[in-house]
Amino acid sequence: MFIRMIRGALVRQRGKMFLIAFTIALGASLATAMLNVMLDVGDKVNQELKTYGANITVKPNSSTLLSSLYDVEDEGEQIETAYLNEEDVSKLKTIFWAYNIVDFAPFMKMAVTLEDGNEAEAVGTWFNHHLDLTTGESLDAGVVSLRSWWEVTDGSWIDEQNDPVNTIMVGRMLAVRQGWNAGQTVTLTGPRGSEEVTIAGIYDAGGDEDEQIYAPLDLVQKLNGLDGKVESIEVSAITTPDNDLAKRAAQNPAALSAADYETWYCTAYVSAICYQIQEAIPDAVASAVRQVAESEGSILDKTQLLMILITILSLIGAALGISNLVTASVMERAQEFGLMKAIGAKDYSITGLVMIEILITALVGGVAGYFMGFGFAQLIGHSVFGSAIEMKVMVIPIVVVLIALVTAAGSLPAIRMILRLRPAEVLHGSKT
Amino acid sequence: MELCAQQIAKWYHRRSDGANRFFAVKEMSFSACSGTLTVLTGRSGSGKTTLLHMLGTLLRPDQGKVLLDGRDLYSMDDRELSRFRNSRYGIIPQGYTAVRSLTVLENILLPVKMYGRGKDVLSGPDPAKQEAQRLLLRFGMADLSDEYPDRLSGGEQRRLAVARALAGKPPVILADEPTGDLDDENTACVMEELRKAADEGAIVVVVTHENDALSYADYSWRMNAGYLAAEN
Repeated sequence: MFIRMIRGALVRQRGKMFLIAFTIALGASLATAMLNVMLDVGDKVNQELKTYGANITVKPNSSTLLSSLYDVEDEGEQIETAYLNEEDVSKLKTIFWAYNIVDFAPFMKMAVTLEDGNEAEAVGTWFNHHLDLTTGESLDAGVVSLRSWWEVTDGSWIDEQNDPVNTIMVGRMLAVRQGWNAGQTVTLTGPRGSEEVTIAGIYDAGGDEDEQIYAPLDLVQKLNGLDGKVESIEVSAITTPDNDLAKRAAQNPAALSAADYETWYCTAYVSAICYQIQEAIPDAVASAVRQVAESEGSILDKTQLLMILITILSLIGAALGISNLVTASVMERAQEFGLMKAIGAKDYSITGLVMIEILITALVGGVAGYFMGFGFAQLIGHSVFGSAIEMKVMVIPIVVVLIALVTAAGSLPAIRMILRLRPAEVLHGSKT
Repeated sequence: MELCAQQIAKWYHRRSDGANRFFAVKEMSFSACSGTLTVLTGRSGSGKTTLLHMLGTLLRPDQGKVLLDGRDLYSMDDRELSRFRNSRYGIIPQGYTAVRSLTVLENILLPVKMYGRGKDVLSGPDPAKQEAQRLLLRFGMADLSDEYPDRLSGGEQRRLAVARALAGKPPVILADEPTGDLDDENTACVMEELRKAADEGAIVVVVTHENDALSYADYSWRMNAGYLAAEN
């Protein structure tokens, strides 16, 4: 009979129950969408930020030490006493977090003399350098993807696989001052001789690089007489935003407990990746580009906060909607509940009856809302990040708990009304 | 068994500051014994229904006690009182009340089934079910036992309420205008069934406007502006 009463109430009030289910579905869908996006957004935002350049730099140990001692960052011309080996660069892809390293390029700078006697800075690097790794993986690394925001205004990027080594890219300002165009041949002179090179393209970087020449690493090493050497490596890695553990580890990993060390080492914190790069490349010091790392953390925190707020607001909205609808339903059935009390039903029996009706409705709405929300998450993923959002299993119990709490909270005024309902008041002169 | 009200009163405040107290029932005592049918008459607003609700444990008096066989009913907590009401009382409310998701027969048997009494009432040969079917036949509603209350007329819903109060043969039956809106024939049927219940040992208290009910009564009282006065 109890089940028939529940079924009868659900059928008789199907309009109201549909609205309650719809309200719950809306709340559940927003919660599902936001939670799925929130749990996946870290990787997405990281990938987005990777298009804005490197977040780790690797330098020779002694160079870094001297730079630190004399506070002469970026003045390598004065204190160039140490180099990394070019052959070690590919070791970046052998560390524990190799798959998080999405791009990298080695650099060597030198001053070259131009045909008119003026000097310019030449930067030797990889453009799309092909690597066949010992792990069996193949990849193309270099500034073509690491400086993806540079605009080539004349000509094209150097293609290392097809272009000759004596090919260069020239910054827009320098090209204008020298009257150079793509396809033109010019002569560069370094300490170890001169080379006739062809301009493959003119780029606009929007910064100091517009006064520089970017050349294949081999060419600059040859002009500088430093075959197989590089000054620094820029690395673009997908990282996990820093937390307290990461900050403590960055100061001194040895001070961590064994459990903390393991957690830190096995999490893609920028400091953990730097630490592992130093393990892989002898005499190298890897350090995070703080602005980028902190921006990542900050953007991620703000994005997640925004999503949490949207989730909370949507659930509050759902609770208010449920509250109104359930209260209206109880008011409509006040005489029925009054009668049940009059013939001996306890308060909790009537409350249980109403709660079961609402929970069944919430279950239907919640399941529908979950799938709607997952659809919303995919829409957000494709429209904002251009890729699908991964379904996180842990979202399901979270949504179940949230919907249960919201339904319970929304039902509280109605329950209060049932508990306060006096049969003598509702039965006196009642007409159905 | 004796249902006894000792110096009970009920009042309401017509203003929120507590002033202007209105007495629905002024201090009074009342008693009714097993095997008797008592009729309470009086004008609208005289306090009949309020008194009946206080006797039926539906409305706590502001003063005095209600006793059934010497037990102070309002000293029980809500849970105990609910169960007590279910097992001892058959209440016929003034309006047309039924649980709309249950059939007529299920509505009549609801008080019996509520606490698991007669679990197989609907399927087996149970006295309550047999009594329910007898009452439906008596009230001319035998063919309506599987209908839902929404399909019943006002008079049929009133008779359903009477049948619901009587089917479990409770020791106390309180009826508030049980024959309102009924024709003479159905009024007679209902009053005869209430009389029968009293004759079988129940305490029956009927609140009514209709003088026809007096002919079934062992005792009659008249309420006037909250005061109770014996008529017979």
